[in-house]
Amino acid sequence: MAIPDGDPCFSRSEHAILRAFGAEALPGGAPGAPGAHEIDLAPTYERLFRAADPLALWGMRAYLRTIEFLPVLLARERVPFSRLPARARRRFVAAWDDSPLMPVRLAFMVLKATVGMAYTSHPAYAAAIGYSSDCLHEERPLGPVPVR
Amino acid sequence: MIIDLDDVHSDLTETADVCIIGSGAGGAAVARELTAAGASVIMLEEGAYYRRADFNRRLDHMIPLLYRDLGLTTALGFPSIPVPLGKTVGGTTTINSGTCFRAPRPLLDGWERDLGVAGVGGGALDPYYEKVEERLHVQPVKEDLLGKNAELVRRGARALGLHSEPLRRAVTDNCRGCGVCCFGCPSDAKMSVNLSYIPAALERGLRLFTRCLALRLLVENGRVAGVEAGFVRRTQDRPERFLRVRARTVVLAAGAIYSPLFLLSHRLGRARGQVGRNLSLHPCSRVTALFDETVEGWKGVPQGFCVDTLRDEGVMLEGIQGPPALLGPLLPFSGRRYQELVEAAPRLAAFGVMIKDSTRGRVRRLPGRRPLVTYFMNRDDFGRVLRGIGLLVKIFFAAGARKVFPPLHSLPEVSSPEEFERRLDPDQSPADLEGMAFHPLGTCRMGGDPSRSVVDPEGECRDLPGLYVADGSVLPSALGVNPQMTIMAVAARIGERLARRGA
Ligand SMILES: Cc1cc2nc3c(=O)[nH]c(=O)nc-3n(C[C@H](O)[C@H](O)[C@H](O)COP(=O)(O)OP(=O)(O)OC[C@H]3O[C@@H](n4cnc5c(N)ncnc54)[C@H](O)[C@@H]3O)c2cc1C
Ligand code: SF4
Repeated sequence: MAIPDGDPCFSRSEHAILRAFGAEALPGGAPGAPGAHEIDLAPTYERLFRAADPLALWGMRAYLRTIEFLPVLLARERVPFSRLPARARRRFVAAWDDSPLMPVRLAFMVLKATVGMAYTSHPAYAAAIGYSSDCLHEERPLGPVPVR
Repeated sequence: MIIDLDDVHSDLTETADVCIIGSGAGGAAVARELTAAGASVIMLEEGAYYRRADFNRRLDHMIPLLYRDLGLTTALGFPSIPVPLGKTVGGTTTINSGTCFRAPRPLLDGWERDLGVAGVGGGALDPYYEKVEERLHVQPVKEDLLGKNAELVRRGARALGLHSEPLRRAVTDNCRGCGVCCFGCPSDAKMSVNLSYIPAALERGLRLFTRCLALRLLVENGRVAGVEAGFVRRTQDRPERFLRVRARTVVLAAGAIYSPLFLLSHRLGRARGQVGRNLSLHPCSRVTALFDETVEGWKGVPQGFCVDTLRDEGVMLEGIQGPPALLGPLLPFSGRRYQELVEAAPRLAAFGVMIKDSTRGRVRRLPGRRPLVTYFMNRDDFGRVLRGIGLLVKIFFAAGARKVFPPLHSLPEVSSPEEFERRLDPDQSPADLEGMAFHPLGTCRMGGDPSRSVVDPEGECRDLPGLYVADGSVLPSALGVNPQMTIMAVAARIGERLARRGA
C-alpha cells in the first residue's frame, strides 16, 4: 500500500541513518561547499520516495535498518551505524564501497546515488559550484509550439 | 479532449474505433495516423500531462513526476543495469535527449529478408521516416549550442584523426542549450511527442485519458473488444474510478518493458513462449574527465555531438553531460575524494558509450504489475563497451584532460591512456562495469515466422485478433543507433495500414 498523504516516508531514525551516511559520503570541507549532513536533505528524500513504488520504499527502509545494525555485528565498536565514531564509520563505508562482490557494491551505489542526487540537486551545492540552468542563451519569450 | 483523474467523478464507459494504451513514441504515432484518417480514437496514459510551466529544471522535482519508479527500473544481471523509463504524456520521449537517427538500411533489409518483416526493407520505411523527421523538426545541432563538453571531445577526436560531428535532434529554434532535456524541456523546444504528435491528434478528436492505467483487455468471441482501465495516482494504487472502453481494435504501446508485461498478464503468447524474450538494451556507460580549464558541461545540448568512428563495429560515442545532479551521483569514490570530485564539477567533462548488443535479456511478470527484467551481458558486448571506453579515454587525454575516470570498478581513475591500457584486465568480468541503458527493444518482436514472433508484420498479435502492438517492443533487433525515429516510423506504418483497413 502507498503511504497516505501527509505521512512521512521515513521515520526520524531512518533520516538519521541517511544523514550519517551523507556525512561519510559527502563530508564537505572545501570553502563554500557544505557537507551533506549540513544541509537539510530530508524534504528531498521524502519527495523522491513518495513517488516510488511502495515496494521500493519498503526495500529502502529495510535496507537502512540493515545498515544501522550491521556494525553491531561486524564492527569492533558494536554500536549502530549512526552512532559509530567518525573513523570507524569511514572504515565501514570504505569497505562497503570497495567490496569485490557486485551485489554489495550495487547496494552501496543505490544509497550513494540517492544521497548524491539529493545533495547535488540542492541549491546550496549549485551556489557553491556556480551552477545555473539559465545556460548558453538568454531567456526569451516563447511563442506557440509550431506543430507540423 | 483531455480527461484526467481529477475530472472524473464516477465510473465511465466510452466507445471508439481504436483504443491505444500508452502515449509515448509508438502510441502517439499511431494516434496521429488514425485521427488524420478520421477514426475515433481513445488513448490511455498512466502518467499525467505536464507542461512547460511544470518543468522547473530541478532533477529532484522532475524525476518523481516524469520517471517511472524514480528511473530505477533495473535489468538484473552482471552488471545490473538501470533502464529508466518515462511515465507521462509523451512517454519516454518527454524525458529523452531528442537525438534522431534512421536505422541503417542494411539492418532493415535484413529484417525483411531474414525475419520476414515485410514492408521495411528496400527503402520502404523511408517515406515514414521523412514524415516523422518533418513533424519533429529534425535538424543538426547548431554550433553555438554544442557547449564546451562537445568542443573538448571534438578537439580530442581531431587530434586522433577520428570522425566526429553534431547529432541531429528533434528540436525547434527555441533551444537555448540549458541542458535539462531529460527532465522536461522548459522552452518547448524539444519536439517530444507530447508537444508534436499528441496536440495534432487532439485537434483531430483524440480523447486522451491521463492517470489512467489499462488493467485488462476485454475479449469477446475470441477477438479483442476493448479495454478496462483504472484511474490511479500511482501505479500500485487501487484505482479511484474505472473506465471501460469498447473498441474493436486495441493498440498496445506501453513500451518494451510494460507491453510484454501486459500480454503476460493476459497469458497471451504463452504457447510460443516468445513474449518478453529477445530484450536488447543498447547498454551504455559514461567516461568522465577532469580538466584544468573550466568546462561547465551543463551549458549546451547534453547530447549534441558524436564520434562515430566505431559505428560499423556497433560502438557509438554520444554526448551525455547534463546538470551536475545528473553527473554527481555517478562519480567514483566516497568520502573526501568523492567530495572533491563533486566540487570539481565545473571542470568535469563526460561522454557516453553505447553499443549495439548481441546479448538478449528477458521480461517476466512478478505480482502487482511489476516486471522482472534480466539481462546477462555477454563477453562480446562487454569487449565492445571496453573498446568504446578505451577510445574515450584516449580522446579525453588528447584534449588535455588531467585525469580520466572510466566506469569500471577495478579501474576508477587513470592518469594517461597508457595507464589505462596497462591496468585494464582483459579477463575482467562484465560485472565490473557501471552500465545504464536507455533503449529497451524487441520483447514482442515482429516477424514472419509465427513460432519466433509475437506480432505479424502488420503489428497484429498472433494470439488475439484485433490486438496490435506498436512500440519499441516490436523492433526485432538492436539498431545500434537511438531508436525513437524507427519506433515512430514503424508505428506510423502500423497506424496507416489500420486506417486503410477502416479500423
Ligand atoms: C533518458 C533517456 C534518453 C533517451 N534519449 C533518446 C534519444 O536521444 N533518442 C532516441 O531515439 N531515443 C532516446 N531514448 C529512448 C526513447 O525515448 C524510447 O526508445 C522511446 O520513447 C520508446 O517508445 P515506446 O513507444 O516504446 O515507449 P514509451 O515512449 O516509453 O511510452 C510508453 C508509455 O506507455 C505508458 N504505459 C505503460 N503501461 C501502461 C498502461 N498499462 N496503461 C496506460 N499507459 C501505460 C507509459 O506510462 C509510457 O508513457 C531515451 C530514453 C531515455 C530514458
Ligand atoms: S537544451 Fe534545448 S532541448 Fe534541451 S531542455 Fe534546453 S532548450 Fe530544451
